[in-house]
Amino acid sequence: MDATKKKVLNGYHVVFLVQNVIIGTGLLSLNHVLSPVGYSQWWFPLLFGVIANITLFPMIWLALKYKDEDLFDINVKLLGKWIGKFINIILIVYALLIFMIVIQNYLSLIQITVLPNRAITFHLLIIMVLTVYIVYGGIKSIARFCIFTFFFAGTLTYSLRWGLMEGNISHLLPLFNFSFSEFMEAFHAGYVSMIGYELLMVYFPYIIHQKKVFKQASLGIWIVIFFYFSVSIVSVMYFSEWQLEHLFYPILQLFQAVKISIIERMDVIGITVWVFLILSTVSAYLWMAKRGIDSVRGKTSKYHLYALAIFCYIILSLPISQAVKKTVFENITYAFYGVVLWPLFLCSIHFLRKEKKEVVK
Amino acid sequence: MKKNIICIIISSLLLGGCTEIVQTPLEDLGLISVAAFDYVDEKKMKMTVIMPQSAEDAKNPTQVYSVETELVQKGLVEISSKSDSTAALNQLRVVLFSEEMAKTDQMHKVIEYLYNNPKVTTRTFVAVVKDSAGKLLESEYPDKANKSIYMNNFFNKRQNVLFNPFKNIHDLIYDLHNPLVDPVVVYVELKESLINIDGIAVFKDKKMVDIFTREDAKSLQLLLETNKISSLSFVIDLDLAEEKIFMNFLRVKTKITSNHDIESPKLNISMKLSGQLSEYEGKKDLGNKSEVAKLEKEIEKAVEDDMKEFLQKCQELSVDPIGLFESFRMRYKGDWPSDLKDELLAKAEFEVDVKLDITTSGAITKK
Amino acid sequence: MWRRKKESVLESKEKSSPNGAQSKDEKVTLVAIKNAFGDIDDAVFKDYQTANGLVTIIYLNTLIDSTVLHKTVISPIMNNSDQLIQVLDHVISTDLRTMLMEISDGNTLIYLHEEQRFFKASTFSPPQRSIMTSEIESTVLGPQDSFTESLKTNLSLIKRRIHQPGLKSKDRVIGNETNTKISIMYMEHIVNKENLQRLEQRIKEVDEANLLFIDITILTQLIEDNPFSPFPHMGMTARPDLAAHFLLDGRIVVAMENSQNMLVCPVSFLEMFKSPEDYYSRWTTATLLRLIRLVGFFITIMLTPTYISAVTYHPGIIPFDLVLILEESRSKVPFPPVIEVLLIELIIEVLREAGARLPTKIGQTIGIVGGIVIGTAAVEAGLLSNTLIVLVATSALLSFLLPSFLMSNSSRVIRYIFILAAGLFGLLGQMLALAWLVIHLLNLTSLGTPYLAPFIPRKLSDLYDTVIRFPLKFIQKRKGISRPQQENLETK
Repeated sequence: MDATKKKVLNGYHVVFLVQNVIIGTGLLSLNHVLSPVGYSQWWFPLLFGVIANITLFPMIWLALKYKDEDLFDINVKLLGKWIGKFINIILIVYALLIFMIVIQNYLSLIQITVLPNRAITFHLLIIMVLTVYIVYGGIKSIARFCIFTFFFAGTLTYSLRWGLMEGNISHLLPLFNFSFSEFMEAFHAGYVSMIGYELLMVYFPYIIHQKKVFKQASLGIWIVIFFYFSVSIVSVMYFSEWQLEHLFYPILQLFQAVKISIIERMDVIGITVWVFLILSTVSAYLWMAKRGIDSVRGKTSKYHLYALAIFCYIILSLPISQAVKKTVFENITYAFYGVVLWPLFLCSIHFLRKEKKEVVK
Repeated sequence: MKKNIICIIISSLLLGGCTEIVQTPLEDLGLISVAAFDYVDEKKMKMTVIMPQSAEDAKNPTQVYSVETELVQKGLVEISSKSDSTAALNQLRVVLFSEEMAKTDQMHKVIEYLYNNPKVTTRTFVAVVKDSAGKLLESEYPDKANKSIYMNNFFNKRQNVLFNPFKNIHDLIYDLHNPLVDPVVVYVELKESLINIDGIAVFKDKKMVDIFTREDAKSLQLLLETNKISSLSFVIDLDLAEEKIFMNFLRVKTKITSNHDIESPKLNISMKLSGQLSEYEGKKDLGNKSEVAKLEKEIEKAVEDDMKEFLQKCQELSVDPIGLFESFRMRYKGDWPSDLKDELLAKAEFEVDVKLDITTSGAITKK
Repeated sequence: MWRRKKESVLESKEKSSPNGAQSKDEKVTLVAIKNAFGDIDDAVFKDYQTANGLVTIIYLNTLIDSTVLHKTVISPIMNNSDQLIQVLDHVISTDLRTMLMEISDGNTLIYLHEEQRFFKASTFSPPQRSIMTSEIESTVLGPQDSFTESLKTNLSLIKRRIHQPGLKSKDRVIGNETNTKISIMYMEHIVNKENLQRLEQRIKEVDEANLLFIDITILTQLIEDNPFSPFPHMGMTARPDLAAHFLLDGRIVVAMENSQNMLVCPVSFLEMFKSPEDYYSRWTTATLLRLIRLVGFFITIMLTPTYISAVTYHPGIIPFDLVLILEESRSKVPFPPVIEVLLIELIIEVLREAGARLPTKIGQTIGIVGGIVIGTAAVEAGLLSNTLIVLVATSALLSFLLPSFLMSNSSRVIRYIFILAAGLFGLLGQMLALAWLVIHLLNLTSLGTPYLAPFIPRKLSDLYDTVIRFPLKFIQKRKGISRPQQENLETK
């Protein structure tokens, strides 16, 4: 019954969509990528929050101008059919790349910790099928899954308690102990963990109360920042600088600090519960890619979804060398910057066209 | 409808996958609970492990294996080939190193390997053993039913000991790579077929340099405890009055303040203790307020002396297991140079100020 | 095909009665009826000589109690036939099919030979059992009566609880062969009209198919939203108090002739964990029990899979002392953990089924035999580990905790999915299965309303009566899932 209506997303859906899509990607190695600035990293999430909030402005402003169109439609409308479609294809590739990177990262983590000496093909298949199952229900199904994930995976935050108890609060000082190049390095590597809120432009037309979106999206972003911030603070307190620099997934060690009498290794549970965060993130991106294909081909079909999933599964199963993967992962940040800043460009086109029209009149 | 087909696909896939289970179940794993490392030569070490034996009617509930190897993983493989089960580190709880090994950088390498291995929990305890570590595992403990359980419990679930310097892998790695702290590890010894805590081993530059006695360890413990409730106990002999006191500290609050002057560092250590007087042998009337106050003063003095003595010892050895200069780092711009701590320690002046509060002296009024 | 054409009968009645004249169709003769009831040996044709001449009464004696027949038909017709004839309904004498249907329904047809007219008396009084306590949904507190197989009794049990004209009960006849009577009940001023329409539409759809409606469970399965789902998403109850409770909340209750249960829709997932006793006992007790049921549900689907994951894939997560116990108990078992768990789960299932099929006295023996065989012998033989038996027994017990029998069954079914998933990928598999479960539940609807209410669509006032049952004075509003016309419980 949800599929028949176009406007399906309520306020709280927006909040949790924004929040969960972001969190799945970045949190696992956030403290590691921020390590160039050492102990001063704990306040970086706040900075990210502010910047994300600022970049939200042009997105929502533009979306409000085209209330019933998503990013793909706007591209075509503002840039013309051919350029617009070309840009849309790039966006689809971007969504698919992120989709694959997130899954790939998670699976390699699984391979290290939970299921060593096990090929990924099979559980990758099941993750794919589940993703398709989520996306099948449309954006509202994704949003509902996000809400569940928030409450379910959110309980993991409690495991920070042990790290907090054993940590040393004096690590929070000094505040600005880094050079400019270190700052840029950490910022560049760290801002990737904010990937996810640009999807707002795609699901914007599905939102019921579009006027309130800025508030809701900001709330979502700041919930993410709250998680990032608390994890960063605890990591900074619990680890030495050397550990932050050398541990690729500091969260794992934080989980291991948990002492519960019936569970010896919280990290295994934490990492497996993480699959919910991964699913909520990747399903959103798969949905975006599917929307993109729908828009480029000019018709809505469920087969687009299946085709995309099969395509991604094949790509992920191919024996691609670690170096290639790494290069892609390092450069996806630039694409992300591009997508975040893209609305600014579109806004200017929007103005130009408006002026032109007025001149013609 | 299609959704349902997906459901069916999932379940059939799960069914189909049942055939490819290759994982070794628990009972076929030799779960190593304690591993000990001894020094052989610069490249080789002797690795001794114990694993609980699962068979009910086995004569000995614990198996001991010992191999000489260069690498831990290689050692594991060799042990597996000797044993009837696959050796695994998933349940590793305690790692022991011989004193000799701790004095080389091999110990550091092993610790880092274990830290890196996702199968090993970072909460595995580390200890240094006098003489041979392997002997600790090989020898029999006639009083104890199961060696693995004994070892595990000895290092694990304990609070009410004279001091509590138990370090796990995470703590040790944290200290080893922290330019401000010199790590300490508990030092045990096999005595009369029982394990005995003998003191603590102090490390510098990733190698063991000295052993602190139990008295020193107590002082260190007091300095390290910051605002934590501890059931730490203390015996003080006041020679003059021939008094013997056993105190249970409920609350220890140590605060290290500094003048932030790198050229001439001065540290002020103020310690607030409050605790129970659980045992007292002496002539003072503990029902009398002023006498108790007098006793408090005497104990304060004694603790102060202990602390000063300990700090002096640290200065002499040029080790700092406390992290005295953390407040300097908090104001320091840039990366902390590795040798700055030693410089500061050599120059530092200490002031110790102890405040004691005896909350209760037990239920019976003593004369 | 014996299909009752109720509407057509009404139409023809309307057409014919104003004119007063009979249509030109041929009149039904007694012989025709006799022929139709040819091989039905319980059909009775009796002639009586009365003041109005010769009268024949026709009935099926298996459907009619002889005392009822005597009281309502025979004795009046002998003594005061004029009065009786005025009271009785007239049956159009041209429609053979209607007449036959009336007789099959348990009515008595009275044929006046002089006037050549048919009358009917409703004498339907088959043997039925008395109202007894509910066996499946038994409670300690609260009313003990439960529905029987008689629609009339069942309706009466509900109507004696809600005395007002707002309670509607719409009768319908479904099924081409069985001609089963169902009654759709709802509170007119509370129920959501859209829901009602949807339900009627669905019943209409299945009605047209040629299906056997032996019990209401069959109807339920036919009109469910997602027939592939392992979860029951239409409520089912044999307790009149619960049915009344649902009615007053704005749900629709469907009763069917010959079935003990009533269908309730829409219902939510959490309502499967509610027992009517929750409202009779104190709120603290009710809350505790509800928590146990809900947690029990998740434990029952997670406990044995976790055993598999821990023993097979993640020996590190078990505490050291427990590892020693597990290792010892598994040391003699020749199977991998998945097979071991599947084996014993299946044995438990077999035991349960065997116990359920057999009469109570023999059922007990099965329990004892099963207990001894599994509990002791299997462990001593080294086929199964004793730790696992504790776990399986616990999870089996927990699965019986749920008040809804259907839900309790499905909890056991999905456990197998979790067991297989755990056998494949350990904890990751369990989480993937849980994700599947969550997505499935999120997308499931009950009569078009999200099954996971009150979380979607969220309604804050519902939270007073979900996991925690607040004191009754807080529960002032109807549930969100019924989307009632009147939100507040007190009707103005």
